[in-house]
Amino acid sequence: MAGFLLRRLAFGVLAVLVAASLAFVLAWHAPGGPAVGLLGEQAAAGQVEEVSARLGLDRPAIEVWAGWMGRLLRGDLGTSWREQAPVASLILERLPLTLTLTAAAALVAAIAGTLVGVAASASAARWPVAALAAFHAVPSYIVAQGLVLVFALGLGVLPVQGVADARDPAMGGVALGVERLRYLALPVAALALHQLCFTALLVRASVQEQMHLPHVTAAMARGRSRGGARWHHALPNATLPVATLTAARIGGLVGGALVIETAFALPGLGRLAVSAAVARDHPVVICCVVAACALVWLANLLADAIAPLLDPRLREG
Amino acid sequence: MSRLLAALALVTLYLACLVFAPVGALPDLPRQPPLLPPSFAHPFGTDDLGRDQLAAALQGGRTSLLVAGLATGLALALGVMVGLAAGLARGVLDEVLMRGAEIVASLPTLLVAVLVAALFGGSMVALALVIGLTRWPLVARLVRIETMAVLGRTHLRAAFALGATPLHVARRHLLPHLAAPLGATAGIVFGGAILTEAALAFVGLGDPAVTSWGQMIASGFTLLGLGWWLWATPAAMIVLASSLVAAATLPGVSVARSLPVGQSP
Repeated sequence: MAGFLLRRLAFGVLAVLVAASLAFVLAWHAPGGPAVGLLGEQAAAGQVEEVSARLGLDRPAIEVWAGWMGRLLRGDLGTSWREQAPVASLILERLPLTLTLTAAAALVAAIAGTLVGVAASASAARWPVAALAAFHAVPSYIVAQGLVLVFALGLGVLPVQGVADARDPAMGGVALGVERLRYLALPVAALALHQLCFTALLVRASVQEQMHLPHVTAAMARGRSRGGARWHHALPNATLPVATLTAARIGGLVGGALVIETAFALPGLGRLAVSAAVARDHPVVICCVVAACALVWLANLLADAIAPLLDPRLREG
Repeated sequence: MSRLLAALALVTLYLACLVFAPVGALPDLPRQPPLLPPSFAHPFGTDDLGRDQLAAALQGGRTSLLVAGLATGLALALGVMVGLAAGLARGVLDEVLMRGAEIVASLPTLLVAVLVAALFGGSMVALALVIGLTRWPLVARLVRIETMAVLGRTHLRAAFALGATPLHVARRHLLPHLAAPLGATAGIVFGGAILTEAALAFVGLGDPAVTSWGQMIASGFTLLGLGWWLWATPAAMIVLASSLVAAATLPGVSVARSLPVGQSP
Protein backbone atom coordinates (compact mmCIF):
# COMPACT_ATOMS: atom_id res chain seq x y z
CA MET A 1 0.00 0.00 0.00
CA ALA A 2 2.74 2.46 0.98
CA GLY A 3 4.67 1.63 -2.17
CA PHE A 4 1.55 2.15 -4.24
CA LEU A 5 0.92 5.57 -2.70
CA LEU A 6 4.57 6.53 -3.13
CA ARG A 7 4.45 5.62 -6.81
CA ARG A 8 1.28 7.64 -7.24
CA LEU A 9 2.87 10.60 -5.45
CA ALA A 10 5.90 10.47 -7.76
CA PHE A 11 3.61 10.31 -10.79
CA GLY A 12 1.64 13.23 -9.39
CA VAL A 13 4.81 15.33 -9.19
CA LEU A 14 5.55 14.45 -12.80
CA ALA A 15 1.99 15.40 -13.80
CA VAL A 16 2.27 18.76 -12.04
CA LEU A 17 5.58 19.45 -13.83
CA VAL A 18 3.94 18.63 -17.17
CA ALA A 19 1.10 21.04 -16.32
CA ALA A 20 3.62 23.74 -15.35
CA SER A 21 5.47 23.21 -18.62
CA LEU A 22 2.21 23.53 -20.53
CA ALA A 23 1.49 26.82 -18.77
CA PHE A 24 5.05 27.95 -19.57
CA VAL A 25 4.62 27.16 -23.27
CA LEU A 26 1.28 28.99 -23.38
CA ALA A 27 2.69 32.02 -21.60
CA TRP A 28 5.83 32.08 -23.76
CA HIS A 29 3.85 32.05 -26.99
CA ALA A 30 1.26 34.64 -25.99
CA PRO A 31 1.10 37.45 -28.55
CA GLY A 32 4.01 39.89 -28.32
CA GLY A 33 6.15 37.76 -26.02
CA PRO A 34 6.42 38.05 -22.24
CA ALA A 35 8.25 41.37 -21.99
CA VAL A 36 5.95 43.23 -24.41
CA GLY A 37 2.91 41.76 -22.66
CA LEU A 38 4.27 43.07 -19.37
CA LEU A 39 5.15 46.58 -20.61
CA GLY A 40 2.27 47.10 -23.02
CA GLU A 41 2.28 47.62 -26.79
CA GLN A 42 3.66 51.16 -26.62
CA ALA A 43 6.92 50.20 -24.91
CA ALA A 44 10.14 51.39 -26.56
CA ALA A 45 12.42 48.74 -28.05
CA GLY A 46 15.25 49.54 -25.65
CA GLN A 47 12.93 49.23 -22.69
CA VAL A 48 11.73 45.81 -23.86
CA GLU A 49 15.31 44.60 -24.23
CA GLU A 50 16.25 45.94 -20.84
CA VAL A 51 13.31 44.20 -19.12
CA SER A 52 13.94 40.99 -21.05
CA ALA A 53 17.55 40.97 -19.90
CA ARG A 54 16.65 41.78 -16.30
CA LEU A 55 14.10 38.95 -16.14
CA GLY A 56 16.43 36.58 -17.97
CA LEU A 57 14.06 36.23 -20.89
CA ASP A 58 16.65 36.96 -23.61
CA ARG A 59 17.93 33.39 -23.51
CA PRO A 60 16.49 30.50 -25.59
CA ALA A 61 13.08 29.24 -24.38
CA ILE A 62 14.41 25.81 -23.47
CA GLU A 63 17.01 27.34 -21.11
CA VAL A 64 14.45 29.57 -19.42
CA TRP A 65 12.09 26.60 -19.08
CA ALA A 66 14.79 24.36 -17.59
CA GLY A 67 15.70 27.10 -15.11
CA TRP A 68 12.11 27.58 -13.95
CA MET A 69 11.38 23.87 -13.64
CA GLY A 70 14.62 23.33 -11.73
CA ARG A 71 13.76 26.03 -9.22
CA LEU A 72 10.19 24.71 -8.96
CA LEU A 73 11.54 21.26 -8.06
CA ARG A 74 13.65 22.83 -5.32
CA GLY A 75 10.53 24.52 -3.97
CA ASP A 76 11.42 28.03 -5.17
CA LEU A 77 8.31 29.51 -6.76
CA GLY A 78 10.06 32.69 -7.90
CA THR A 79 9.11 36.35 -7.67
CA SER A 80 6.05 38.07 -9.11
CA TRP A 81 6.97 40.47 -11.93
CA ARG A 82 4.06 42.74 -11.20
CA GLU A 83 4.11 42.93 -7.41
CA GLN A 84 7.81 42.26 -6.75
CA ALA A 85 6.71 39.89 -4.00
CA PRO A 86 7.50 36.17 -3.61
CA VAL A 87 4.93 34.13 -5.53
CA ALA A 88 4.71 31.66 -2.67
CA SER A 89 3.37 34.32 -0.31
CA LEU A 90 0.86 35.59 -2.91
CA ILE A 91 -0.46 32.06 -3.40
CA LEU A 92 -0.48 31.21 0.30
CA GLU A 93 -2.55 34.35 0.88
CA ARG A 94 -5.23 33.20 -1.58
CA LEU A 95 -5.06 29.43 -1.24
CA PRO A 96 -6.96 29.06 2.09
CA LEU A 97 -10.10 30.64 0.65
CA THR A 98 -10.13 28.48 -2.48
CA LEU A 99 -9.26 25.43 -0.41
CA THR A 100 -12.08 26.14 2.06
CA LEU A 101 -14.54 26.77 -0.76
CA THR A 102 -13.62 23.60 -2.66
CA ALA A 103 -13.37 21.33 0.38
CA ALA A 104 -16.61 22.61 1.90
CA ALA A 105 -18.45 22.19 -1.40
CA ALA A 106 -17.07 18.66 -1.88
CA LEU A 107 -18.00 17.71 1.68
CA VAL A 108 -21.50 19.22 1.52
CA ALA A 109 -22.11 17.56 -1.84
CA ALA A 110 -20.91 14.16 -0.61
CA ILE A 111 -22.91 14.17 2.63
CA ALA A 112 -26.10 15.87 1.42
CA GLY A 113 -25.92 14.04 -1.90
CA THR A 114 -25.74 10.69 -0.11
CA LEU A 115 -28.69 11.54 2.13
CA VAL A 116 -30.79 12.79 -0.79
CA GLY A 117 -29.79 9.75 -2.86
CA VAL A 118 -30.83 7.26 -0.18
CA ALA A 119 -34.12 9.10 0.33
CA ALA A 120 -34.73 9.11 -3.42
CA SER A 121 -33.94 5.41 -3.67
CA ALA A 122 -37.03 4.58 -1.57
CA SER A 123 -39.31 5.70 -4.39
CA ALA A 124 -39.55 3.95 -7.73
CA ALA A 125 -41.08 7.08 -9.25
CA ARG A 126 -39.24 8.89 -12.03
CA TRP A 127 -39.68 12.42 -10.76
CA PRO A 128 -36.80 12.45 -8.22
CA VAL A 129 -34.42 11.44 -10.99
CA ALA A 130 -35.85 14.02 -13.35
CA ALA A 131 -35.62 16.74 -10.69
CA LEU A 132 -32.03 15.87 -9.80
CA ALA A 133 -31.03 15.70 -13.46
CA ALA A 134 -32.66 19.08 -14.08
CA PHE A 135 -30.80 20.76 -11.18
CA HIS A 136 -27.60 19.07 -12.36
CA ALA A 137 -27.98 20.90 -15.67
CA VAL A 138 -28.05 24.40 -14.15
CA PRO A 139 -24.61 26.07 -14.31
CA SER A 140 -23.18 27.07 -10.93
CA TYR A 141 -23.17 30.81 -11.65
CA ILE A 142 -26.89 30.81 -12.44
CA VAL A 143 -27.47 28.95 -9.16
CA ALA A 144 -25.28 31.60 -7.51
CA GLN A 145 -27.32 34.44 -8.97
CA GLY A 146 -30.58 32.75 -8.03
CA LEU A 147 -29.37 32.28 -4.45
CA VAL A 148 -28.24 35.91 -4.27
CA LEU A 149 -31.65 37.04 -5.54
CA VAL A 150 -33.52 35.02 -2.92
CA PHE A 151 -31.30 35.04 0.18
CA ALA A 152 -29.32 38.26 -0.17
CA LEU A 153 -31.46 40.71 -2.15
CA GLY A 154 -34.91 39.24 -1.39
CA LEU A 155 -34.79 38.02 2.21
CA GLY A 156 -31.67 39.96 3.15
CA VAL A 157 -30.41 37.25 5.51
CA LEU A 158 -27.01 36.67 3.86
CA PRO A 159 -24.39 39.03 2.40
CA VAL A 160 -24.37 39.57 -1.38
CA GLN A 161 -20.65 39.07 -1.96
CA GLY A 162 -17.13 39.47 -0.56
CA VAL A 163 -15.56 38.08 2.60
CA ALA A 164 -15.88 38.86 6.29
CA ASP A 165 -13.69 41.78 7.35
CA ALA A 166 -11.18 40.31 9.82
CA ARG A 167 -9.83 43.77 10.70
CA ASP A 168 -13.17 44.91 12.13
CA PRO A 169 -12.31 45.48 15.84
CA ALA A 170 -15.89 44.65 16.90
CA MET A 171 -15.36 41.09 15.68
CA GLY A 172 -14.40 38.59 18.33
CA GLY A 173 -13.27 35.04 17.65
CA VAL A 174 -16.69 33.36 17.56
CA ALA A 175 -18.48 36.29 15.94
CA LEU A 176 -15.85 36.44 13.21
CA GLY A 177 -16.21 32.72 12.60
CA VAL A 178 -19.98 33.04 12.25
CA GLU A 179 -19.52 36.02 9.96
CA ARG A 180 -17.10 34.04 7.79
CA LEU A 181 -19.63 31.20 7.53
CA ARG A 182 -22.36 33.65 6.56
CA TYR A 183 -20.22 35.00 3.70
CA LEU A 184 -19.27 31.49 2.54
CA ALA A 185 -22.76 29.94 2.71
CA LEU A 186 -24.02 31.05 -0.71
CA PRO A 187 -20.76 30.40 -2.65
CA VAL A 188 -20.47 26.91 -1.15
CA ALA A 189 -24.12 26.14 -1.86
CA ALA A 190 -23.82 27.34 -5.46
CA LEU A 191 -20.64 25.34 -6.05
CA ALA A 192 -21.95 22.19 -4.34
CA LEU A 193 -25.36 21.84 -6.01
CA HIS A 194 -24.11 20.42 -9.31
CA GLN A 195 -21.97 17.78 -7.62
CA LEU A 196 -24.67 17.07 -5.03
CA CYS A 197 -27.15 16.13 -7.75
CA PHE A 198 -24.65 13.84 -9.45
CA THR A 199 -23.77 12.12 -6.17
CA ALA A 200 -27.45 11.70 -5.30
CA LEU A 201 -28.21 10.10 -8.67
CA LEU A 202 -25.26 7.75 -8.25
CA VAL A 203 -26.19 6.78 -4.68
CA ARG A 204 -29.82 6.24 -5.62
CA ALA A 205 -28.95 3.86 -8.47
CA SER A 206 -26.33 2.12 -6.35
CA VAL A 207 -28.61 1.64 -3.31
CA GLN A 208 -31.47 0.37 -5.46
CA GLU A 209 -29.11 -2.19 -6.94
CA GLN A 210 -27.93 -3.23 -3.46
CA MET A 211 -31.50 -3.70 -2.24
CA HIS A 212 -31.83 -6.82 -4.44
CA LEU A 213 -28.62 -8.44 -3.21
CA PRO A 214 -28.71 -11.48 -0.91
CA HIS A 215 -27.22 -9.79 2.18
CA VAL A 216 -29.97 -7.17 2.19
CA THR A 217 -32.68 -9.77 1.61
CA ALA A 218 -31.18 -11.80 4.46
CA ALA A 219 -31.22 -8.77 6.76
CA MET A 220 -34.87 -8.17 6.03
CA ALA A 221 -35.62 -11.88 6.57
CA ARG A 222 -34.08 -11.51 10.04
CA GLY A 223 -36.63 -8.82 10.75
CA ARG A 224 -34.92 -5.58 9.65
CA SER A 225 -37.38 -3.06 8.33
CA ARG A 226 -36.98 -2.05 4.68
CA GLY A 227 -35.75 1.38 5.73
CA GLY A 228 -33.32 -0.10 8.25
CA ALA A 229 -31.92 -2.45 5.62
CA ARG A 230 -31.55 0.49 3.26
CA TRP A 231 -29.51 2.57 5.71
CA HIS A 232 -27.54 -0.17 7.48
CA HIS A 233 -26.91 -2.75 4.80
CA ALA A 234 -27.33 -1.18 1.38
CA LEU A 235 -25.84 2.27 2.04
CA PRO A 236 -22.39 1.24 3.40
CA ASN A 237 -21.64 -0.62 0.17
CA ALA A 238 -22.77 2.37 -1.84
CA THR A 239 -20.38 4.82 -0.15
CA LEU A 240 -17.15 3.70 -1.83
CA PRO A 241 -18.08 5.06 -5.27
CA VAL A 242 -19.10 8.32 -3.56
CA ALA A 243 -15.60 8.79 -2.09
CA THR A 244 -13.88 7.96 -5.38
CA LEU A 245 -16.25 10.12 -7.35
CA THR A 246 -15.92 13.08 -5.00
CA ALA A 247 -12.15 12.99 -5.38
CA ALA A 248 -12.29 12.46 -9.13
CA ARG A 249 -14.48 15.50 -9.58
CA ILE A 250 -12.32 17.81 -7.41
CA GLY A 251 -10.77 19.05 -10.64
CA GLY A 252 -14.15 20.25 -11.79
CA LEU A 253 -14.77 21.88 -8.43
CA VAL A 254 -11.43 23.72 -8.55
CA GLY A 255 -12.41 25.02 -11.97
CA GLY A 256 -15.90 25.87 -10.77
CA ALA A 257 -14.48 27.68 -7.74
CA LEU A 258 -12.85 30.08 -10.17
CA VAL A 259 -16.19 31.12 -11.64
CA ILE A 260 -17.83 31.26 -8.22
CA GLU A 261 -14.99 33.43 -6.89
CA THR A 262 -15.74 35.88 -9.69
CA ALA A 263 -19.50 35.77 -9.09
CA PHE A 264 -19.07 36.51 -5.38
CA ALA A 265 -15.97 38.74 -5.62
CA LEU A 266 -13.93 36.37 -3.43
CA PRO A 267 -10.15 36.95 -3.37
CA GLY A 268 -9.13 33.35 -4.12
CA LEU A 269 -6.65 31.51 -6.31
CA GLY A 270 -8.91 31.70 -9.38
CA ARG A 271 -9.10 35.47 -9.31
CA LEU A 272 -5.33 35.66 -8.74
CA ALA A 273 -4.78 33.45 -11.80
CA VAL A 274 -7.06 35.53 -13.99
CA SER A 275 -5.62 38.89 -12.96
CA ALA A 276 -2.04 37.58 -13.27
CA ALA A 277 -2.75 36.14 -16.73
CA VAL A 278 -4.27 39.43 -17.90
CA ALA A 279 -1.22 41.32 -16.55
CA ARG A 280 1.19 38.76 -18.07
CA ASP A 281 2.70 38.03 -14.67
CA HIS A 282 3.97 34.63 -15.81
CA PRO A 283 5.61 33.33 -12.62
CA VAL A 284 2.30 33.79 -10.80
CA VAL A 285 0.28 32.23 -13.65
CA ILE A 286 2.46 29.12 -13.75
CA CYS A 287 2.39 28.68 -9.99
CA CYS A 288 -1.41 29.00 -9.94
CA VAL A 289 -1.59 26.13 -12.42
CA VAL A 290 0.87 24.16 -10.28
CA ALA A 291 -1.20 24.79 -7.15
CA ALA A 292 -4.49 23.80 -8.82
CA CYS A 293 -3.04 20.62 -10.30
CA ALA A 294 -1.36 19.66 -7.04
CA LEU A 295 -4.73 20.09 -5.33
CA VAL A 296 -6.39 17.73 -7.81
CA TRP A 297 -3.64 15.12 -7.45
CA LEU A 298 -3.66 15.28 -3.67
CA ALA A 299 -7.43 14.78 -3.67
CA ASN A 300 -7.08 11.70 -5.87
CA LEU A 301 -4.29 10.38 -3.68
CA LEU A 302 -6.45 10.90 -0.61
CA ALA A 303 -9.28 8.94 -2.24
CA ASP A 304 -6.92 6.06 -3.02
CA ALA A 305 -5.69 6.14 0.56
CA ILE A 306 -9.12 6.09 2.20
CA ALA A 307 -10.71 3.57 -0.20
CA PRO A 308 -9.32 0.60 1.79
CA LEU A 309 -10.75 2.08 4.99
CA LEU A 310 -14.22 2.05 3.43
CA ASP A 311 -13.96 -1.26 1.63
CA PRO A 312 -12.23 -4.13 3.44
CA ARG A 313 -11.92 -6.05 0.16
CA LEU A 314 -9.31 -3.51 -0.98
CA ARG A 315 -7.09 -4.08 2.06
CA GLU A 316 -5.73 -7.43 0.90
CA GLY A 317 -2.93 -7.70 -1.57
CA MET B 1 -37.49 7.25 -26.69
CA SER B 2 -37.23 10.32 -24.47
CA ARG B 3 -33.50 10.36 -25.22
CA LEU B 4 -34.27 10.54 -28.92
CA LEU B 5 -36.75 13.36 -28.34
CA ALA B 6 -34.22 15.29 -26.27
CA ALA B 7 -31.56 14.83 -28.94
CA LEU B 8 -34.01 15.97 -31.63
CA ALA B 9 -35.03 19.01 -29.57
CA LEU B 10 -31.38 19.94 -29.07
CA VAL B 11 -30.60 19.63 -32.78
CA THR B 12 -33.69 21.71 -33.59
CA LEU B 13 -32.67 24.40 -31.07
CA TYR B 14 -29.21 24.71 -32.61
CA LEU B 15 -30.45 24.54 -36.19
CA ALA B 16 -32.76 27.43 -35.33
CA CYS B 17 -29.75 29.36 -33.96
CA LEU B 18 -27.73 28.61 -37.10
CA VAL B 19 -30.50 29.47 -39.55
CA PHE B 20 -32.36 32.32 -37.91
CA ALA B 21 -29.67 34.23 -36.03
CA PRO B 22 -28.84 37.45 -37.87
CA VAL B 23 -25.35 37.46 -39.31
CA GLY B 24 -23.09 40.22 -38.06
CA ALA B 25 -22.18 41.58 -34.68
CA LEU B 26 -24.70 42.48 -32.02
CA PRO B 27 -24.29 46.27 -32.33
CA ASP B 28 -25.58 46.01 -35.92
CA LEU B 29 -28.99 44.70 -34.88
CA PRO B 30 -31.83 47.07 -35.80
CA ARG B 31 -32.82 49.30 -32.89
CA GLN B 32 -36.25 49.05 -31.28
CA PRO B 33 -37.58 50.94 -28.28
CA PRO B 34 -35.34 49.88 -25.33
CA LEU B 35 -36.45 47.63 -22.45
CA LEU B 36 -39.67 46.30 -23.98
CA PRO B 37 -41.01 43.37 -21.95
CA PRO B 38 -41.60 40.08 -23.84
CA SER B 39 -44.44 40.34 -26.34
CA PHE B 40 -45.49 38.73 -29.61
CA ALA B 41 -43.32 41.11 -31.60
CA HIS B 42 -40.30 40.55 -29.33
CA PRO B 43 -40.74 37.18 -27.56
CA PHE B 44 -37.63 37.76 -25.40
CA GLY B 45 -38.16 41.52 -25.06
CA THR B 46 -35.54 44.10 -26.00
CA ASP B 47 -32.39 45.07 -24.10
CA ASP B 48 -31.29 48.43 -22.71
CA LEU B 49 -30.04 49.51 -26.14
CA GLY B 50 -33.22 48.44 -27.93
CA ARG B 51 -31.84 45.27 -29.52
CA ASP B 52 -34.11 42.25 -29.88
CA GLN B 53 -33.14 39.79 -27.12
CA LEU B 54 -34.28 36.78 -29.16
CA ALA B 55 -31.95 37.70 -31.99
CA ALA B 56 -29.12 38.11 -29.47
CA ALA B 57 -29.95 34.78 -27.81
CA LEU B 58 -29.91 33.02 -31.20
CA GLN B 59 -26.52 34.55 -31.93
CA GLY B 60 -25.30 33.35 -28.54
CA GLY B 61 -26.55 29.87 -29.44
CA ARG B 62 -24.53 29.91 -32.62
CA THR B 63 -21.40 30.84 -30.66
CA SER B 64 -21.85 28.00 -28.19
CA LEU B 65 -22.68 25.55 -30.98
CA LEU B 66 -19.55 26.44 -32.94
CA VAL B 67 -17.25 26.19 -29.92
CA ALA B 68 -18.85 22.99 -28.59
CA GLY B 69 -19.04 21.34 -32.00
CA LEU B 70 -15.41 22.06 -32.82
CA ALA B 71 -14.23 20.96 -29.37
CA THR B 72 -16.25 17.73 -29.48
CA GLY B 73 -14.96 16.87 -32.95
CA LEU B 74 -11.38 17.38 -31.82
CA ALA B 75 -11.83 15.40 -28.58
CA LEU B 76 -13.47 12.52 -30.49
CA ALA B 77 -10.77 12.40 -33.17
CA LEU B 78 -7.90 12.46 -30.65
CA GLY B 79 -9.63 10.12 -28.22
CA VAL B 80 -10.46 7.51 -30.86
CA MET B 81 -6.92 7.56 -32.23
CA VAL B 82 -5.25 7.28 -28.82
CA GLY B 83 -7.79 4.75 -27.53
CA LEU B 84 -7.47 2.48 -30.56
CA ALA B 85 -3.68 2.70 -30.50
CA ALA B 86 -3.55 1.86 -26.79
CA GLY B 87 -6.11 -0.92 -27.05
CA LEU B 88 -4.55 -2.54 -30.10
CA ALA B 89 -0.89 -2.14 -29.18
CA ARG B 90 -1.02 -2.98 -25.43
CA GLY B 91 2.31 -3.11 -23.63
CA VAL B 92 4.56 -0.08 -23.31
CA LEU B 93 2.68 2.14 -25.76
CA ASP B 94 -0.59 1.47 -23.92
CA GLU B 95 1.07 2.32 -20.60
CA VAL B 96 2.57 5.57 -21.92
CA LEU B 97 -0.62 6.72 -23.65
CA MET B 98 -2.83 5.99 -20.67
CA ARG B 99 -0.51 7.70 -18.15
CA GLY B 100 -0.47 10.68 -20.51
CA ALA B 101 -4.27 10.63 -20.63
CA GLU B 102 -4.32 10.57 -16.83
CA ILE B 103 -2.13 13.68 -16.66
CA VAL B 104 -4.28 15.56 -19.16
CA ALA B 105 -7.47 14.46 -17.40
CA SER B 106 -6.22 15.94 -14.14
CA LEU B 107 -5.82 19.42 -15.65
CA PRO B 108 -8.72 21.64 -14.64
CA THR B 109 -10.16 22.45 -18.08
CA LEU B 110 -11.66 25.71 -16.97
CA LEU B 111 -8.39 26.99 -15.47
CA VAL B 112 -6.45 26.21 -18.65
CA ALA B 113 -9.23 27.82 -20.69
CA VAL B 114 -9.05 30.92 -18.49
CA LEU B 115 -5.28 31.18 -19.05
CA VAL B 116 -5.62 30.80 -22.81
CA ALA B 117 -8.47 33.29 -22.92
CA ALA B 118 -6.52 35.82 -20.84
CA LEU B 119 -3.28 35.37 -22.81
CA PHE B 120 -4.66 34.97 -26.33
CA GLY B 121 -7.86 36.98 -26.10
CA GLY B 122 -10.55 34.30 -25.91
CA SER B 123 -11.14 33.69 -29.61
CA MET B 124 -13.66 30.96 -30.34
CA VAL B 125 -11.11 28.74 -32.08
CA ALA B 126 -8.59 28.98 -29.23
CA LEU B 127 -11.35 28.09 -26.77
CA ALA B 128 -12.49 25.09 -28.83
CA LEU B 129 -8.86 23.93 -29.06
CA VAL B 130 -8.41 24.09 -25.29
CA ILE B 131 -11.61 22.19 -24.56
CA GLY B 132 -10.92 19.59 -27.24
CA LEU B 133 -7.31 19.12 -26.14
CA THR B 134 -8.21 18.64 -22.47
CA ARG B 135 -11.30 16.41 -22.91
CA TRP B 136 -10.00 13.61 -25.14
CA PRO B 137 -8.90 11.30 -22.27
CA LEU B 138 -12.56 10.55 -21.51
CA VAL B 139 -13.03 9.28 -25.08
CA ALA B 140 -9.68 7.50 -25.18
CA ARG B 141 -10.37 5.50 -22.03
CA LEU B 142 -13.75 4.39 -23.31
CA VAL B 143 -12.40 3.39 -26.75
CA ARG B 144 -9.48 1.52 -25.19
CA ILE B 145 -11.67 -0.53 -22.85
CA GLU B 146 -14.21 -1.32 -25.57
CA THR B 147 -11.43 -2.26 -27.97
CA MET B 148 -9.91 -4.66 -25.47
CA ALA B 149 -13.33 -6.18 -24.74
CA VAL B 150 -14.12 -6.74 -28.41
CA LEU B 151 -10.67 -7.95 -29.49
CA GLY B 152 -11.11 -11.41 -27.96
CA ARG B 153 -14.30 -12.15 -29.88
CA THR B 154 -14.31 -14.86 -32.55
CA HIS B 155 -14.98 -12.75 -35.59
CA LEU B 156 -12.01 -10.52 -34.80
CA ARG B 157 -9.73 -13.50 -34.19
CA ALA B 158 -10.93 -14.82 -37.53
CA ALA B 159 -10.22 -11.49 -39.19
CA PHE B 160 -6.68 -11.44 -37.79
CA ALA B 161 -6.19 -15.09 -38.82
CA LEU B 162 -7.18 -14.14 -42.36
CA GLY B 163 -4.39 -11.57 -42.36
CA ALA B 164 -6.29 -8.37 -41.59
CA THR B 165 -4.10 -5.46 -40.47
CA PRO B 166 -4.90 -3.68 -37.19
CA LEU B 167 -5.92 -0.63 -39.23
CA HIS B 168 -8.41 -2.68 -41.23
CA VAL B 169 -9.84 -4.28 -38.09
CA ALA B 170 -10.14 -0.86 -36.46
CA ARG B 171 -12.01 0.58 -39.41
CA ARG B 172 -14.27 -2.34 -40.33
CA HIS B 173 -14.95 -4.00 -36.99
CA LEU B 174 -14.12 -1.74 -34.06
CA LEU B 175 -15.43 1.68 -35.09
CA PRO B 176 -18.97 0.48 -36.03
CA HIS B 177 -19.13 -1.30 -32.69
CA LEU B 178 -18.02 1.89 -30.89
CA ALA B 179 -20.60 4.15 -32.52
CA ALA B 180 -23.21 3.98 -29.74
CA PRO B 181 -20.96 4.57 -26.68
CA LEU B 182 -19.07 7.23 -28.63
CA GLY B 183 -22.33 9.03 -29.34
CA ALA B 184 -23.13 9.20 -25.64
CA THR B 185 -19.60 10.35 -24.76
CA ALA B 186 -19.73 12.97 -27.49
CA GLY B 187 -22.87 14.30 -25.86
CA ILE B 188 -21.10 14.61 -22.52
CA VAL B 189 -18.13 16.43 -24.06
CA PHE B 190 -20.50 18.65 -26.03
CA GLY B 191 -22.53 19.58 -22.95
CA GLY B 192 -19.36 20.30 -20.97
CA ALA B 193 -18.07 22.50 -23.78
CA ILE B 194 -21.29 24.56 -23.87
CA LEU B 195 -20.98 25.18 -20.14
CA THR B 196 -17.25 25.96 -20.29
CA GLU B 197 -17.71 28.47 -23.08
CA ALA B 198 -20.58 30.14 -21.24
CA ALA B 199 -18.64 30.18 -17.95
CA LEU B 200 -15.69 31.93 -19.59
CA ALA B 201 -17.92 34.52 -21.21
CA PHE B 202 -19.65 34.97 -17.85
CA VAL B 203 -16.32 35.71 -16.14
CA GLY B 204 -15.63 38.23 -18.89
CA LEU B 205 -12.94 36.30 -20.76
CA GLY B 206 -14.90 35.40 -23.88
CA ASP B 207 -14.42 37.00 -27.26
CA PRO B 208 -15.81 40.51 -26.72
CA ALA B 209 -16.78 40.76 -30.41
CA VAL B 210 -19.09 37.74 -30.23
CA THR B 211 -22.42 37.43 -28.41
CA SER B 212 -22.58 34.58 -25.91
CA TRP B 213 -25.17 33.34 -23.45
CA GLY B 214 -22.68 33.60 -20.58
CA GLN B 215 -21.95 37.23 -21.33
CA MET B 216 -25.69 38.02 -21.72
CA ILE B 217 -26.35 36.41 -18.33
CA ALA B 218 -23.58 38.44 -16.65
CA SER B 219 -24.74 41.76 -18.06
CA GLY B 220 -28.42 40.86 -17.60
CA PHE B 221 -27.87 40.30 -13.89
CA THR B 222 -26.40 43.75 -13.37
CA LEU B 223 -29.40 45.23 -15.24
CA LEU B 224 -31.93 43.08 -13.40
CA GLY B 225 -33.60 46.15 -11.92
CA LEU B 226 -34.47 47.36 -15.43
CA GLY B 227 -36.11 44.15 -16.61
CA TRP B 228 -36.15 40.53 -15.48
CA TRP B 229 -36.10 39.24 -19.05
CA LEU B 230 -32.60 40.61 -19.65
CA TRP B 231 -31.29 37.93 -17.26
CA ALA B 232 -33.98 35.26 -17.41
CA THR B 233 -34.06 34.62 -21.16
CA PRO B 234 -30.35 33.84 -21.72
CA ALA B 235 -30.31 31.88 -18.45
CA ALA B 236 -33.30 29.85 -19.66
CA MET B 237 -31.56 29.18 -22.98
CA ILE B 238 -28.45 27.74 -21.36
CA VAL B 239 -30.40 25.69 -18.81
CA LEU B 240 -32.57 24.34 -21.66
CA ALA B 241 -29.57 23.39 -23.80
CA SER B 242 -27.73 21.88 -20.84
CA SER B 243 -30.72 19.81 -19.68
CA LEU B 244 -31.37 18.58 -23.20
CA VAL B 245 -27.77 17.38 -23.36
CA ALA B 246 -28.24 15.65 -20.00
CA ALA B 247 -31.54 14.09 -21.07
CA ALA B 248 -30.00 12.83 -24.29
CA THR B 249 -26.89 11.38 -22.67
CA LEU B 250 -27.80 10.31 -19.13
CA PRO B 251 -30.95 8.18 -19.46
CA GLY B 252 -32.14 6.94 -16.08
CA VAL B 253 -28.74 8.10 -14.91
CA SER B 254 -28.00 4.66 -13.45
CA VAL B 255 -25.83 4.74 -16.54
CA ALA B 256 -23.77 7.31 -14.66
CA ARG B 257 -22.17 4.38 -12.84
CA SER B 258 -20.75 2.95 -16.02
CA LEU B 259 -19.43 6.28 -17.26
CA PRO B 260 -15.72 6.86 -17.16
CA VAL B 261 -15.38 9.17 -14.19
CA GLY B 262 -14.34 12.55 -15.46
CA GLN B 263 -14.35 16.17 -14.48
CA SER B 264 -17.51 18.11 -14.28
CA PRO B 265 -17.60 21.28 -16.26
